[in-house]
Amino acid sequence: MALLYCACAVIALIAPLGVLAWRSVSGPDGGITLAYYGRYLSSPSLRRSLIDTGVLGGLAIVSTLPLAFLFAYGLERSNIRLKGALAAIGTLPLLAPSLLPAMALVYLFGRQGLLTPWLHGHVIYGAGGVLLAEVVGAFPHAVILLRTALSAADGRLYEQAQMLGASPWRIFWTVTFPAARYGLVSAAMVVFTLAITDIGAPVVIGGDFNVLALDVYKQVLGQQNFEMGAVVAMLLLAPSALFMGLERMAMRRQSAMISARSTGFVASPSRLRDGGLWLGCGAIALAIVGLLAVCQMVALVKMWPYDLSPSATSYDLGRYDGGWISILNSVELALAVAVVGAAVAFAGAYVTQRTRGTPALRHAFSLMALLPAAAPGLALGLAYALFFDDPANPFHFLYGGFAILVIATVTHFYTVAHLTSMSALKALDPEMEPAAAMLGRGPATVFWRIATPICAPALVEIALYLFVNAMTTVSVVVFLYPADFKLASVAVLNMDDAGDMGPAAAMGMLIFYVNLAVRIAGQWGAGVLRRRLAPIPQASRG
Amino acid sequence: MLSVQGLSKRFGAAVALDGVDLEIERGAFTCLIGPSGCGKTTCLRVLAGLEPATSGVVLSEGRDITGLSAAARGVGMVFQSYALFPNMTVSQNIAFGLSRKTSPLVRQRRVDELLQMVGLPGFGARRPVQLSGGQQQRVAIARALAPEPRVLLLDEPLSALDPQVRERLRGELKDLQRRLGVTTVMVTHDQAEALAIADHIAVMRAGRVEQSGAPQDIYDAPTSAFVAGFVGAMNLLPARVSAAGVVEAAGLGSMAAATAGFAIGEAVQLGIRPEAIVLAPPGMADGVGARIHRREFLGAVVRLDVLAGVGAVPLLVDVPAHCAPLSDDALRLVLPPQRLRLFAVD
Repeated sequence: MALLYCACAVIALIAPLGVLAWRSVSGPDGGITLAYYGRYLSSPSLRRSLIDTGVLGGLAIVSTLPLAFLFAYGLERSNIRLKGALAAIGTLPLLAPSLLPAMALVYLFGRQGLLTPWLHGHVIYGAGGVLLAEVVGAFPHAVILLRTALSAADGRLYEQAQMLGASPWRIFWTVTFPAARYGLVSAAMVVFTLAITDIGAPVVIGGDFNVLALDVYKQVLGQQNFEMGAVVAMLLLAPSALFMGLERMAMRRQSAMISARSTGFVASPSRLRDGGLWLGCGAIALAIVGLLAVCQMVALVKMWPYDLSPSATSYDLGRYDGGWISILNSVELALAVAVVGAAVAFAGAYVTQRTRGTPALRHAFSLMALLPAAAPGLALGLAYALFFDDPANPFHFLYGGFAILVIATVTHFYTVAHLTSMSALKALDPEMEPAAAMLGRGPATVFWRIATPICAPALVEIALYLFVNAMTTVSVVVFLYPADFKLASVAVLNMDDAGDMGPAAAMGMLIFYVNLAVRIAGQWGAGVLRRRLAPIPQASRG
Repeated sequence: MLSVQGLSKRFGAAVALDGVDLEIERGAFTCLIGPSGCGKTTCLRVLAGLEPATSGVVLSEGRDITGLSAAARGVGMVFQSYALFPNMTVSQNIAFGLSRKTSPLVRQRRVDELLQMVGLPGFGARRPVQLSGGQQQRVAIARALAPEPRVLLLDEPLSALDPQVRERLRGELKDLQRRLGVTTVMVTHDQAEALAIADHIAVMRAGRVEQSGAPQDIYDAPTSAFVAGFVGAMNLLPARVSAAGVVEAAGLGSMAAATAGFAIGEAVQLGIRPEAIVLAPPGMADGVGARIHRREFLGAVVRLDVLAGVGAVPLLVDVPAHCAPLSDDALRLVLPPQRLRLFAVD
């Protein structure tokens, strides 16, 4: 089993990325050359985008983290009202394609934006707009990481600090902040990686502002220059690999912060603090809902922003390339990715963690399972295009089909699915397998009859994560989808590019609603499964 | 009925078992005890067939079962955590190891019979989380017994419980074992538990069986200073055989003891149990002078921590609570020769 998993990982990840690296250095005569890198670095406009990308990532960190920290702090360390609603709203951007916030900004502050006059002659297009859109997109990811860091508070430390007479300000800087610092590092790495690898916002709102991701997109789709595309993809891959590596290290440190003897933290009542946090969190939630509402309004009016009378013409999607079918295609892909991905990742985690044979292979697989997080979607998508397009490749038959979309998407989001499975399985008593072996049942029986039912809620959550991401991703699939299988997220991009504002907004919001419905249903299902597994204990130990 | 000969187990360079020999009698309750890392759990897992032995054989009724799988050995095991399957009911847990070829009706009858046997009739529909620790343990025993194993292995089955519950349950465990008459091997690090429950004890140390025998024999006649110190409390003093029947204990002076097996002039360890030391009646000139350094009230007995002899040698002395000296004044201790034991120096 471990061998099978390693083989799959090599075919689905290592080999394509290897081909990508190879194509970036192989000259027309078959030798190794750095000419493409040289040409890239000598082109002033391309060199400019390299620097701009770095600056964008840095600015995204400094703008996102304070907002996300405030929001996470409000949810975890205060007594503000409507925490549940705020938390749910904070994650809404995850359900929409990354280009939706950028589109909303254009509708508000673009050339024909509703609020453009407020900018006094300035325009949103360019670095500022991209940055704003990236902040919205990365915000939920940062909030999730920071909430984890802040929720792991050791109540004993706070009691001790209070006993010693420390002021709330001092407690914040000496207890809260140090405990959350690895969470902050980890959130910074994720924000940076998301900001520099995103393709949606730069296309929609970038104007003349160029970034690496856009370069890959243009080189490959615009100029059919795969070698240069590979070079840029490699330049994009290096920092994200580095940063995701640092993120993993920070995560490991973070989880070591909480000891088994920690006690829970209960926020003390404070009207001033809660009032301030409520204002801050409320404003952020309002901004998120506002951006989504703007998109919905654009889809429902005759001619934004000139004629705001209601109209359903934008929903006549059949007129556009892809149209309604592309939504169905996306749902089909997302379902396949969710089911296949959750099953494969869970079984893979079971084999790596709970079987005893072939330790070297299991270790190798657990390392390879962490790699996809380091590969930007565009780099992976291009790597797939290069690898499977080659007629000499025995897996060439996959190219241009549905299967390759599923494989690429599952691979792209594999790391989170794998790690979630691993931690779900870790909660399972390590003596389950020996206990079953003593009764004449092998690991396969334990997997089906014990591990799977117990981890069913986690499996539903993994499937949800994969579904939502498969619905919204553009970068992995943009080089891979066949002409007769248009996807909704790509259709939004194309419609927006063509200036069809209303339909693009309508399609983008449709994706959002599908994801919202699936997430509500999935979380309800996971809750039911969880309650069924753990009835309230009637007797205590002893 | 179960016989282990020259069993060794290595994990890479680490030696977990280093030639274990063990005889397990039919129907008896055998305890493997020893400090952590002595290999007792590894030994149990090799007996169970969960770990392959590096060398040596395991015989069951004279038949070599060393190469057989866990299930084929006819051995049942109860794990430290009980390892009950949390998603299944008590009945499903117990039925897990029953052959799928038997009809559901027969299986259900067997499950009911086992629940009756462990004293949990009517608990079949519950889930493990709805049971107390003691009840979980009994379900684990019922599950292990379901396929009718010849031997039942218990890996620290009492260690997950609170101290009071543990004492009650070890009695119940012993009753159950005697009633069923199933050959049982239990691993524990708690020597008091082993003394209380076992028919036969094997004391392990560094991958070997150091001594085995009935609990009373192990307690009364330990063959090494290690066993003496591990099972019960024992005062161990450096000493030297000065003549046949006489030892010279450092700081205490000469005293009579059985020196058979030791050469004149040989360095030895002199051992005496705290309860074997006798307080001389006031006014007697017998024994060694001592003064009380600290006293611990243990309920039925008082443990005196005394400094004895010219060398102020620390000794533990247990005296019944009603006989404990009232003051910490000087007292005299008698070390009865028949209760002194000599051990080779490690």
